[in-house]
Amino acid sequence: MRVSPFALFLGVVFAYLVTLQPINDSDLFWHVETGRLTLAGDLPRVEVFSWTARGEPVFTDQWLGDLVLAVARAAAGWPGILALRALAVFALVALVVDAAMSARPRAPIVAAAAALPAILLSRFAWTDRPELLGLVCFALMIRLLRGGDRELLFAIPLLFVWAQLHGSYALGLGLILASCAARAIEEKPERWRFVPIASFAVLATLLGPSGLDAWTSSGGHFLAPPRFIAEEGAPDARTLPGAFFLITLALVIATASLGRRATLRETLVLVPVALVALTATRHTPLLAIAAVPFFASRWPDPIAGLRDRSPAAPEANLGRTRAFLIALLAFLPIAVLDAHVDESTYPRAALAAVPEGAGVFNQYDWGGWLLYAKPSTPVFIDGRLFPYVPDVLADYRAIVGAHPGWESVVARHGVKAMLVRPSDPIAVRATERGWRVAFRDAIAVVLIR
Amino acid sequence: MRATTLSAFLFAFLAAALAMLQAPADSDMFWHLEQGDWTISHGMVLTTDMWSFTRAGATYNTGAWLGDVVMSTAYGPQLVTGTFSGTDSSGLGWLGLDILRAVLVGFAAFFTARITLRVQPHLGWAAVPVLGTILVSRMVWGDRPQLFTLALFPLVLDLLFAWRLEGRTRALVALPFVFVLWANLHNAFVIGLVAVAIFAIDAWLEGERRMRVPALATLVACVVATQLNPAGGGAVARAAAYGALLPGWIVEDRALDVLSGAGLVFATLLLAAIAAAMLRGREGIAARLGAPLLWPGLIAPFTVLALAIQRETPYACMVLAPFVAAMVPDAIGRPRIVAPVVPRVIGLAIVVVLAVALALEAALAAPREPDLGAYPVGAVPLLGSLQGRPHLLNEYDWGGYLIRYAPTYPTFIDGRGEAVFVPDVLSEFQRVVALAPGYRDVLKKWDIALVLLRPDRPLVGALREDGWRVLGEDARWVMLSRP
Repeated sequence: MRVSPFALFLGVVFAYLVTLQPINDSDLFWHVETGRLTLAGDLPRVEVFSWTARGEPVFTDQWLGDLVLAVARAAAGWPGILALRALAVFALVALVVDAAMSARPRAPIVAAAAALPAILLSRFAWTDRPELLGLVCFALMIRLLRGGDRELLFAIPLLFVWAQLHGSYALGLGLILASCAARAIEEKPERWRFVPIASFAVLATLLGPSGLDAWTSSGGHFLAPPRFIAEEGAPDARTLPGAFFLITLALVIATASLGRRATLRETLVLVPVALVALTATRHTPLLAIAAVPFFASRWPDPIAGLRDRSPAAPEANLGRTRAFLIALLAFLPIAVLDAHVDESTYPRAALAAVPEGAGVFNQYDWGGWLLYAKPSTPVFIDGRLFPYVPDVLADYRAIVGAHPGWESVVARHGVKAMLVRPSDPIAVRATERGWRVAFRDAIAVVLIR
Repeated sequence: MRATTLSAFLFAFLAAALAMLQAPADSDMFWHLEQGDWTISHGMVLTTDMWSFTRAGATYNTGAWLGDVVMSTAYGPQLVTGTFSGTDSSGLGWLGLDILRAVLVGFAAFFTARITLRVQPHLGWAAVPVLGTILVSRMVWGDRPQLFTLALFPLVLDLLFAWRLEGRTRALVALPFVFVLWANLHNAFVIGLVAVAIFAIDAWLEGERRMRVPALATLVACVVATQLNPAGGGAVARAAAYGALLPGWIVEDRALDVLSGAGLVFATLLLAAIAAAMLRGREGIAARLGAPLLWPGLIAPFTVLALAIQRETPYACMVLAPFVAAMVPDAIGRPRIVAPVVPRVIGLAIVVVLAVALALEAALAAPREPDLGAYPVGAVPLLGSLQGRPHLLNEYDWGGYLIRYAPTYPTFIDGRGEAVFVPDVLSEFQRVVALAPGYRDVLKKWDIALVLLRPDRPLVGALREDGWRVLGEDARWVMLSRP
């Protein structure tokens, strides 16, 4: 698969641009900690970071994603994490733009326009999580599924790796099965050859350490997304990602209705992705990425007349251009050299007042960060969510919202201190109920019973 | 009579029969009835708040004076004000609202079916999207003026399709009259104007030359017609501001969750439309339906609207239904059929039978009482027994109920939210019930001495702990009095 120089160029541009974005994702820290344990040969299969769910079974479906993050951190510290993000964004943008370029090889303006929704929407997922690696796999899968038999076979090892990186692989499996079905219908002779391909694809998802449990995590997120988490909410036009998504969806409708007819394979890839994208904000980039070749192959070229008169660049020159563009990535270490965690939204100043050991109730968004910043204090809850569903999560919400009966929940758990936001109802109410304020600033309050 | 017309009557009957069985329960119904009563008894539109103590005297306009009057008329004159005694009307009472709802829902279903059957005479293919649309429309079957929008939007679409697809220019003449009515019944008439504008743009870009002038003239006439209401041009401005603000503090105005029941039906229709459009492309759509620019012109904006504001979902389904009904069978190679004709006498006889069946249902099975399961019914006598009239902090959803059944207690807030209480009072309400910082300042500012809230509100737990006296409670409500 030869990637177009234009795609590589945009990939390099965005790889450097993304290094300007701070490291501050709240989930990064628990991913790195989980990966660190795996790196040490101790893949966590039960909960070890919290004091409320300790010993409960946990999903291992992202073990490779966690491991990659931990290796990057161990190898080069936070610059390693930033470099990993930059490389992932490079790959994602290059794949997306290349998908457009392969659909319209000599129309870079159309290709760039077609890739723009995918870049704009995926930009909200350019964070330091396995989810970003999952998006790269998805973009590559879309590229492969547009190819022939050889590409379809390559999709199976990709699916295997993807299934170890991130739970979004389930969509990849669905798309392979849909592609096989579409091709079996369209290519009537030898249609049975798709049966073993589909079977191997299913098998590839079961070969990780999670086995069948890997499907539970993906299914849970798809069928019952935890709506109280912003990124799991329904796509909302009041937010920038939601607005971009609705524009993308409108473009899909317009292109489908006004363009030339699509193949069954194109339809069976795009429509299921649209369904998944409709379910939650975090899934919205998927539609934009899947729609790139569809847009590119159907949108009109405003400079078609000029384009037809200009000669195509010789392939030898393109090879040197590709090499030059990829070589530009060698300077990435300079861009990430001073990478550090941006703790402006975290309660760093409050940490000294937080007691060590079990018994500290913490804000959900700070749980992952606490694992990194104060490992001697196990968390009440963190962004992994599943170990805490339903009981611990319900108790968390009762306490942080100061719901009627919150004091009995506190007593049942034996909470001795709280690290919460000043705007949390519990910060107001616990103070009124006699909890001592051990620390307070604009970000956090530490309350001691 | 064409079989498609008869089928549309059948769908209308089904929808109306279903709607008739729903007991009145909408939280905004009560204040709409009060506004209607006031308008009828005073002969003028109510524009000053007289029911809350937080915005007393403020001017406002909910843009639905005629809708309120029609609802109030359907209910009939109220006999006793201030006490709930079941049937408190000398007219039809709650049955009147049941009948009004059934008529409007049936009207909506009839025209939704007519639009769909216009392009897909095969009853089987048309039934799926039409029934889906009827089911989705249940989300707006609450007894409010929005029922008029539910009924009038498909009527407008039907007239526009009759003109665009069948060349019946005379259908356009009715539109300005519809908009005069609609602009006074409910302020969501703007979505109808959007539909007219889309048809006009399509006609200008792709229609035959002879269609352009009627299209433009109709659009202008409809816009002018919507000025004929007490607020004049302010009605359009208010509706536009609502669309621009995208209020998200009421559940029904939030983004659509496609994993909900209505969301799933909508998503199915939408994805079926996308799949069919992809498989047939522009040429296939032009060959099967005509007006290839019109369909994405309608589907895209109404889809976006539905996903942004979930209560608009039924209107997106009304746009999707004919496209799905026609294009899905076309995409899978099903042949087209021509609608059979039913002898007029038989057709009329069936319609009469359906009407009689509805009348029988109204007489025998329609609810005579509202469903007050969500309201603090037991709190009303308690309020009446209290000395003085201390300021009451009430649940948002119960404000309208209190306006009707405890009118001597002004509300803190009620369902007229956007028109009266946004942003200040709503923000204070949200802060105080959630125990956000400064909640005590709100209690103090408004001198709240009485609280009527759901038991799970954080404020309830806090006030109990602070020694507020429990005057009464059950599983749904609790009333606390300041010590």
